[in-house]
Amino acid sequence: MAKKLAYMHSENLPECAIDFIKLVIRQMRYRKKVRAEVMAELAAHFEDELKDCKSDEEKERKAKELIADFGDVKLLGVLLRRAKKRCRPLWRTMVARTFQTVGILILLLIVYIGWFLMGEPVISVDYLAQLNQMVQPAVDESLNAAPLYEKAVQLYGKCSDDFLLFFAENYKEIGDPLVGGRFRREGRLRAEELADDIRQLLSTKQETDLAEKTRLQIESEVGTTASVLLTRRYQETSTIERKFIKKWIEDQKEALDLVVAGTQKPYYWQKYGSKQNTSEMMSILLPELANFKRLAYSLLRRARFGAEQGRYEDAFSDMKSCYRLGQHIKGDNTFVIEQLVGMAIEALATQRLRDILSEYEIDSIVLTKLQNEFEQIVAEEDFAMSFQAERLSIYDVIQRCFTEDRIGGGHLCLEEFKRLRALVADYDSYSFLEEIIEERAWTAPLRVLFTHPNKHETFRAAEELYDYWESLNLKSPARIRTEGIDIDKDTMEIIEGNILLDVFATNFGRAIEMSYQIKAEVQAIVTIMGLLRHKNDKGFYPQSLRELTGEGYISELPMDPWTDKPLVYKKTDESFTLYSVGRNFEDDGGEVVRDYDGQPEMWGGEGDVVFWPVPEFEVKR
Amino acid sequence: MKFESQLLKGIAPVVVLEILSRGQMYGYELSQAIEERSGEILTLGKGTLYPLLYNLEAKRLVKGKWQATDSGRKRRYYSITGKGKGQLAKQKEQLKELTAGLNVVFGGALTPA
Repeated sequence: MAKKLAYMHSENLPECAIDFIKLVIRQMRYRKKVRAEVMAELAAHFEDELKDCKSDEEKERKAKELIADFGDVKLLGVLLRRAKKRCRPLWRTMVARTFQTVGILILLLIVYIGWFLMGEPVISVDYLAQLNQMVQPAVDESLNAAPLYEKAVQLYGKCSDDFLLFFAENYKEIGDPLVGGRFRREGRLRAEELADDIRQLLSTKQETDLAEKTRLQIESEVGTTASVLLTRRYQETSTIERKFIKKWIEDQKEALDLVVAGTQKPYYWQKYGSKQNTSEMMSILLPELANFKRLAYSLLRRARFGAEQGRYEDAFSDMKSCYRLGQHIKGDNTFVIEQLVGMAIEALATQRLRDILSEYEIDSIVLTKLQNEFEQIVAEEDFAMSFQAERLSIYDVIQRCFTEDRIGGGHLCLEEFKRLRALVADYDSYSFLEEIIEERAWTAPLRVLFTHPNKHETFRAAEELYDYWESLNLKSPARIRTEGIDIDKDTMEIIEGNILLDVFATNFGRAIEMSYQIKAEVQAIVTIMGLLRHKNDKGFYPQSLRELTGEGYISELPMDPWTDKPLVYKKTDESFTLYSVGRNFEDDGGEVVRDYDGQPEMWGGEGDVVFWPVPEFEVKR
Repeated sequence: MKFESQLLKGIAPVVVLEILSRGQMYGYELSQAIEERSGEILTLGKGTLYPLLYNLEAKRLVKGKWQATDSGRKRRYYSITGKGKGQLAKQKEQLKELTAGLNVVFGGALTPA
């Protein structure tokens, strides 16, 4: 371009002509090379027009005439640009159009991202209120066991001076608090310190705030030791430990009696609330499930002590109360975690009952009464899981994580999603989700923008998912196997591409299995009681379970959920074997499955689950 | 003579093609030739000339090429292409028919004496 300018000057064109040409070229606003060519052509035209001029004044005048003839500078520039654009080759036109298209798309993307990032969720449904309405029966509050259980939890853990002193004098023979493995040495040192603290506390008898705080701390730590010992099999505890536990249970009498009183109530429900007093389901405060389990262990140990002393009725009463506690916690339409804890307590109760029936000779009258009462307790029990609370939870998460419906159907709000995700315990991430949550890749939100289902689609998928769990609930493991149902595949198909459901929706396959397990446990214990009664009455065990039903010892055959046939019963010389084929669906002849340490596994292993004879535990100390 | 611009708009391209059909020319040459060969009846404004030439070039009716003149200076010469010749023949035919039709309308007044 500079060359062309120099050329114009060298041909002695008047300044007005040069300025005119420069203006026209500037107005063209096109590629440099093209403008240079046009400039040269215009300069040549001026040169040709002015070549016959004899003076500078004549040149000037003629140049001005020519400029006037060329017309408006701006218009000329536009016409020249348009014409030159039409001259460009097709490939150049395609490239230009492509760039324009990409530019427009980028602009639209920016607008879309702006729209995506704006907008907030609108909370329109109070699912927490719906849940509370669902769990509360239409009865008077006085029929609710919850206040009694809450009081029991508050009282649980209080220790008498006598108990604390016992610990201080015998801590060396008592199992380490909170220990196993490498913490054993630290635990032992801490136990020694605790013993010193106890002696000091009891000797000073101060009633100060500090003393109170110290006492609470001590009770908590000693109580932890008691809790650990309570979970061990009775056979694994030493004489001193059993004394320690006995004293502990004596101290917890008031709490345990409250639990027993609670189990006499026909109903148990609690009013769910959240930490911040909002209707957010993810922030719901669940009841003290861990403490309920500790209470259950204490009740069962009390039952064991009762049986040891021949007080079988008291022992069985505590066991029934424990089972009833489990039933209460399971409740109706509670959260799955509550149902699982409830089932675990029920399973504990039936297993400890089997232990006692195995170790002690119980006469027919007591057995009959026990069986009748137990059958009454389980008569109306619905062993199927309920997912209603989880369904409402996921609906609440959806309404809190998606914007209000608009064109596009409501999109995912990453900020809210991150906040709620932080509340979910036991979160199992994978790389794509990590990118979203940890913002390691700026492209991850873009993937969410373009691929994540909208609010309507997510609701539909959530409904489909929970309908699927409800339908699976009605199928035993044997039936699931027969029908070739692949739970993982089915659920993945439903939630595919939906990161919200992938994070917040749980796979309930194992939970559904556990509900069938507990049903089998209950039917097994009833059958065992029937068989023991038969033996007591007739002096022998029946050849088959049908004889038991025929003679009225049991009302129905116990079913094995892994075969959909009755549990396997085999009469032996002195006794009998009663078992389920277990999770491998194969009859291994009643062989007890043992873990790595040689301890019998019940439902956790892949093999037969033997209810009777009660598998022996190897005592390790 | 200054004609109505709409009147000239349609015939300017055919005039340029006709003159270029007789030999290649550069811009100044062409504007002079239009005046001379029309008996100074037709003049093409300079502001129209170059955009017209570029448009004809875009339609592949003419092609432009920088060449040295006799005096040694470089000019962009325009020459008619084969397509341009075809287009010229077609438009000349149309103009003839148009003229004949107009003559009938104006009662032979358009035919030069």
